[in-house]
Amino acid sequence: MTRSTTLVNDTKKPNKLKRIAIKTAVAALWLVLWQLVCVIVDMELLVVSPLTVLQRLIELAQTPEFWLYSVKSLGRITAGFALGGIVGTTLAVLCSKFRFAREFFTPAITIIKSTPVASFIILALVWLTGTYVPIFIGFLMVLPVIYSNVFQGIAEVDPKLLEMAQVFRMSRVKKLTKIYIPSVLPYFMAACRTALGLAWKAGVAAEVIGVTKDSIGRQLYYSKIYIETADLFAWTVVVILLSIALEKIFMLCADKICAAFHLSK
Amino acid sequence: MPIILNNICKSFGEKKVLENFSLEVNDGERICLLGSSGGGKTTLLNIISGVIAPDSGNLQCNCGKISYIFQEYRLLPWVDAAENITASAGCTNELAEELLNAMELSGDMHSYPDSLSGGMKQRVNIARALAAGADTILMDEPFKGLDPALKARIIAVVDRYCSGRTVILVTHDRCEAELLNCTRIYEFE
Repeated sequence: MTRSTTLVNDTKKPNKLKRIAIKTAVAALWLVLWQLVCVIVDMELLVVSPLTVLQRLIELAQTPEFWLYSVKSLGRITAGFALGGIVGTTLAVLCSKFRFAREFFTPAITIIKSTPVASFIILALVWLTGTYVPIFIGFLMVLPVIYSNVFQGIAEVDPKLLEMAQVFRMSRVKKLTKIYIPSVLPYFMAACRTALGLAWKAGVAAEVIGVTKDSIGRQLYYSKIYIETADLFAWTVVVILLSIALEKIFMLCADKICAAFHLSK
Repeated sequence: MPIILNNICKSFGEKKVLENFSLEVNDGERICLLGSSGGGKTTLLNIISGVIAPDSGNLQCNCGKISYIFQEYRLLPWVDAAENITASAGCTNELAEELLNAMELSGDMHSYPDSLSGGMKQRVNIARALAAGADTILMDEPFKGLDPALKARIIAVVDRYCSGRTVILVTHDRCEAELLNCTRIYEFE
């Protein structure tokens, strides 16, 4: 007797077109809900319609200042993020290697983690000139996230691989490139993704409170002062779009790096 | 130079794994440590390789470079079979390819460990240890997971590449020791 078995893949992934259609439908539903809230509230001062926001966004995009503010804010937040990434990684490596460094830096990292961002912004305004405040705040938000993840990544490097490296007398460079970096990379990538969002939120908040020159935050502040709700919504949309764009670019780079190391993210 | 172990003791918590264990292995000798699981054979190899230290006793191991066929494969998951050998053993691509061919893995040189079967990973593990150009090779159940016919062919390859080197083989199977031409079999209780 012969028996044949047919495997049916009933959990087929929806194709790309279908996924785009679903996402568009969901976005459209949210826009309808937004419009509905706008009609119910019926006060443009409180809630602006999506169409008004879009119109204002198009108007703003036609001015050179819009691009200047966007690029400068993006630059500041990216600088804070990069600085936090570099210092966080360096500290994690130091603290993994030296017990004294770990004992010394742990309280500082804990304080940074638990202090409200507003306190840091106000302190930073006292210590630094306006332009550097968002960079410093971005740095402070990113630092503990990167530090904790990279530290954990180093701690969880497979000890059996390290023993193998010891027996085969692998050089330090080989150990770094073939064991440590590929092991820690997924932790670093996950931290970067989380930290990117934090850097944006905190960086823009710092720009608002510090009324940083040539920044999106300053425009948000002016929108509040002059009760320009459409502007407030439009600039918020800009922040969201830039944040998504930055995350997409980061994910693209992360994909390439992970593929180079044969890692899944 | 010989390997001399004198009254080696090793415990893990309350469990005494090795108690006053002594052994001498001459240069170029092939010995087999035979016995059931939990007897301390792997612990002994780990002590000789320097992975762990004994609690007490004296170990003289001026046996040059050591390589080790680990019981678990311990392959780098993010590099292919050939690079696992070159990166760990520090050998040339040519030698890695030669050994993978000898291990009947010519079609899998650029396969990553996650796409290899257990037996294939074990053969990469063996090839890596042979590629290191070590004077002493420690083998912890090196032929497990290989079917009998393949096992015989792989043992023949290992026998050829281990010529003139000191070998300490840990196994449950006396036949493996005989096929590898071990001159001494030490039975663990």
